[in-house]
Amino acid sequence: LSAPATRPRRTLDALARDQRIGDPIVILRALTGLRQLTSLYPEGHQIIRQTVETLHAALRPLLEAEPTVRVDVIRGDAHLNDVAYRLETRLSQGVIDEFLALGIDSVHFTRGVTKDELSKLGTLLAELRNHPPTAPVAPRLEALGIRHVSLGRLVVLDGRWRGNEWPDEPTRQLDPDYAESLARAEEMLDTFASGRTPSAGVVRSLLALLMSRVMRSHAAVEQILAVKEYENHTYCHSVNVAVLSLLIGRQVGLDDPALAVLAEGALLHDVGKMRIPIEILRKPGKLDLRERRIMERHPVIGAEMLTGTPALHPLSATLALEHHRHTNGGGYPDLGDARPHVLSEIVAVADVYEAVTGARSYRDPARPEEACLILARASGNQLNRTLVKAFVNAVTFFPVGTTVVTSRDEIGTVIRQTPGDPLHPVITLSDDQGLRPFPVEIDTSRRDAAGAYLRHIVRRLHPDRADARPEPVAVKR
Amino acid sequence: VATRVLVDRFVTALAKALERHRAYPPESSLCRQSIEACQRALHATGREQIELRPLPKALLVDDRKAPWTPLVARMGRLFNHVGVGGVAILAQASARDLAWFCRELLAREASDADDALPDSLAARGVRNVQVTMLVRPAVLGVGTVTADRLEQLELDERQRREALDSQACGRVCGLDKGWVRLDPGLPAPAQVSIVGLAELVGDPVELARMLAWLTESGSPDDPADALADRFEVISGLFRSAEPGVARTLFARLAQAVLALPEERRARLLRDTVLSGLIEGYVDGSMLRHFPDEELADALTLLLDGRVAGRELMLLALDRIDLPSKRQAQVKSMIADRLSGAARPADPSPGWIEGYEDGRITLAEGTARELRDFTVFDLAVNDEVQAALAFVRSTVQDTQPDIERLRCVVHLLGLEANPDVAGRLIPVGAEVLALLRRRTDWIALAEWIGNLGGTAARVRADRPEIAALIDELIARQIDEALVRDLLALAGEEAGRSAARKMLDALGAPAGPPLVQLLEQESQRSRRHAITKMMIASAPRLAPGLVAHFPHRRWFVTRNLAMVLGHAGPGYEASLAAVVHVDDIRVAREALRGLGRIGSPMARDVVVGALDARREIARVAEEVFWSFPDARRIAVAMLGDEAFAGRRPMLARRLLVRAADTARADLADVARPLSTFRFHLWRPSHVWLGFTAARLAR
Repeated sequence: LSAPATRPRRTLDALARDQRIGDPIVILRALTGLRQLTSLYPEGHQIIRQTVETLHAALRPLLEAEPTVRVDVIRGDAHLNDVAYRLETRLSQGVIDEFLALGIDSVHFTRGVTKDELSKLGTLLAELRNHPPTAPVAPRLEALGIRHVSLGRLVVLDGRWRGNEWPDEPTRQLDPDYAESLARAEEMLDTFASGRTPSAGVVRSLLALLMSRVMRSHAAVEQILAVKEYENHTYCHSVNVAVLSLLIGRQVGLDDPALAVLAEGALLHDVGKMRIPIEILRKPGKLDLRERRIMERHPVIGAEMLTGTPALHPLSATLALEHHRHTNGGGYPDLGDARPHVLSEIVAVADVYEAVTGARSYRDPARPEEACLILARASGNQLNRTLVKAFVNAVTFFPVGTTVVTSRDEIGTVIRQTPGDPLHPVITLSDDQGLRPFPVEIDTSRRDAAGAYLRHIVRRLHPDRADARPEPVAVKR
Repeated sequence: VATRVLVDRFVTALAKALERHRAYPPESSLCRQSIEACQRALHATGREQIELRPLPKALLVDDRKAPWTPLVARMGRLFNHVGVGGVAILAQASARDLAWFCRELLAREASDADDALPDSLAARGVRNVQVTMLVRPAVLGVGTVTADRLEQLELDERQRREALDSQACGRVCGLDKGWVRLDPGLPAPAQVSIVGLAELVGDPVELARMLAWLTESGSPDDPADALADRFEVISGLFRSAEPGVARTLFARLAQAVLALPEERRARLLRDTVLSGLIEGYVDGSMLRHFPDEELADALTLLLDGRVAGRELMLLALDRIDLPSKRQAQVKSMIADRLSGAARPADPSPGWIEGYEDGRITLAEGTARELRDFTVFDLAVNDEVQAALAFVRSTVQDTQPDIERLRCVVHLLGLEANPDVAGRLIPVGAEVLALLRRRTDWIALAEWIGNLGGTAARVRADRPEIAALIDELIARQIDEALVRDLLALAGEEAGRSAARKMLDALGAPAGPPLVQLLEQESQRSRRHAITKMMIASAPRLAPGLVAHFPHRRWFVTRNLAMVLGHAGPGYEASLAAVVHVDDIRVAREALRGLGRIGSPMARDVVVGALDARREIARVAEEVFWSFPDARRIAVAMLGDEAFAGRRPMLARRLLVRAADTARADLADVARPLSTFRFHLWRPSHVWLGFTAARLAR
């Protein structure tokens, strides 16, 4: 065995780099020395010239390598060009203290600094020692002709940023079945978080609750479809996505066993987030590269957790792995060109809807119709277009009795839904106030010869009216 | 005290391992031994975790100074050089974890690696050695600030601080990361908030650069990239500023965006600003500061590649919240642009679907809440019903076990930690066994092939994972499987499946096939096995070489046939049996070389021409299968010694060479024609007369 031929050269490079990094203490010591000597000796004295020479010589190689040399004292440590140089000797600490006593904790030199400028800087520092600055120093430096040196004081940056404050879970009165499902989901996910595996019975009973009671409760589904004014990344989100996935699955026409598989996978799709640090999950604003990498691991972590769980259906792991994959092969994690399983695509649609109608610290929740707009925009590339259509048609945004305005500025009241097109219901026209109905029925789903709709519903009227139904509801089947 | 000694021993062992890795290749036995010693020392400490923290001239081990021996000093200097703030080594750290820690740390010393050490360790699946890097402070210059401005800022900051103290908030950067540099002569505030920083800096591009430094410790090369990456944060910060200041800041932001090169501006507007506006992440404040013409241009960008772009455009316009007069003006400008662009000569692929069918006229109506949603044609028509039926059938046709295997294969392709991957392997093995029990050879072949592909893909970066997959594949092969495959290959319908299966299994299938070949007494059965092996020869051959030549002559002969079909790379193996006593083996080896047809194979065959008669005959037969055989033959005939030694062979070569062309033969035939006077050697005479005839 022999050492790689390149090693010695690398070591030399590293040494050379170390020397270029330099020592901030040498610079600070020269500066404080200069300040002291300027107070003691007349201008142009030999000893002052020598100190200026020392300082200039220390700066020269550094300024050859970088356009600026930045010496900053932060929390008692000297930093040279952002690299910390911790102090060990009392002498070094003394130099730092003396420097800080001038009310300055940052000196920056730029390329082109002259000995004359350094000499004048010594004079200025001596003045500052006797008369701490009360006016900006920059004009004073300018007046002295010191153009390549700047002095500064460092103030700590408070990196906190206010986000919207949302409760951790729903605060309004919940449908009892929905509330029970949330409690059970929380228990189940806590079991996963603690590294244990929930029993098959626990999972099955929760699925039965969702499929037989929550899905049949109009109030529960309404609460899930509506704007959610709380921020919960795990158990509420999981139950909501499971119910929304069931809505889509039902619209697709899946049988009960397939719906059970779908619900199980949807319920556990974000189980990997239990191992993502909470500060990343709840960070306001955009995640940085490192945080994003960690966040994008959650499908893999989740799939790994579920793969080894015999109580679960094999597809649950697939759904956890693929729910952030796009139909066009994009998204994460990178699985090559493999198209996600269609059940994963269902969960993806439900997940996007739930995420945008849910509150986040960095933005308000979107209204259901806005969420559908986002789904429609993403359909084709990111989401399966057919499933988006299935979802939108599983929900009616204009229940019977809703007063609406059409794209022809007509006001009307919804009297019945159009099968297969709940966005274009049949309405009766009313007067300008929407109060007195005219005996004219209009089917808004009618199209012209080119296939374009003749009119659209463009908004609801009187959304605050007591008898208006503000929330969308699932289409009855 | 005893524990302390043990911990010090571990530190020394770690330092020694680093030194070994510095000097020797990581795969070397010296490195391996040093890592094993290090792991033993770690276990001997009995500690759950050992924490190292470097100081410039000391190394703290669990907050106690470790003996500063030359070895430890070098390790401490390395930590400092790389910028390691602390290393926590957990008791569960495997030899692999420690080895990768040494390798990655030294890679950074040599400046070979760009990514951060904790990231690269995570990517390698190292979870039991946790590294924290030293925080490099960001000193942020904010230019000239007046005392009045600073006083006002301090007042605003006080209010912000109170709000932050009482409300939920997140952090843009950690404590002590950012430091604002102000003039020492100014009254310094206690601290500056991130919104305060935005107000002080003012320039959005500079602010974006600072935010990049604060969050990722690096500045992007292109300021436009920085602005695009952090537009939402910048916009959010500006929105949080005092309203008067916010207006100015948004105006500056608008100027900065407008000053970007056209292509970058369009990308930023389309992908970040307008997209965020529609989805509610970004408000329209900045766009309000755009001149009307530029605003209309910006909004028309939504047409590019968006579904129902026009409707989104109107929604975006509503959300910008312009005064009604200005909104009408911008709308009319958009209409002008659309009428000009409605019939593009060469529509781009991103041009929206249904753009020309005029579902909505632009001039209509005012801001309407639901319009943007309802205009989408989301009705469930026959086409959608058909698609839904397809979805149903896809779900019904799903095989859960295959899905489980698919998931495992994907995870093995993603996972870096061999311990985690090791837990996935039994799941994969279980499904493969199930497929085998079901004799679903097609699926089995496909998934073993997928596993092999995954192993090949990860081999360079994650050899441990590749080795685990290889082992899983190898475990599938046994004598029973080989017999099953043989039976399958015997049927017309199953031949293709058997071949796919063998291709998928690859080299590990070689040894059991050799064993089967050896055990089989019937010649016809051996023939069937060989035929099956020949069909997958290139994939099997690497696993056969170790068994070649075999102690049983018939196995060697059959393997020679297989290797001869495997392509270049096996010439040396075949050459080794060309001169054996058993002509049946030599014949197959020579024929195999002929099939390989490489220059190396040709040289072996040419060499065999001079061998004993029966081998030479086969070699001669094979020789002519090489494309440049005639040229070689002519060159050989030019060697009179060869002709004198093998006159009959020389004559045959001469005649065969003359079959294709004669022009260049005169030069070699003429000297050979003198052989006709060697009356004491009839074969020479014969060669001589033939040469003389050809020379004429």
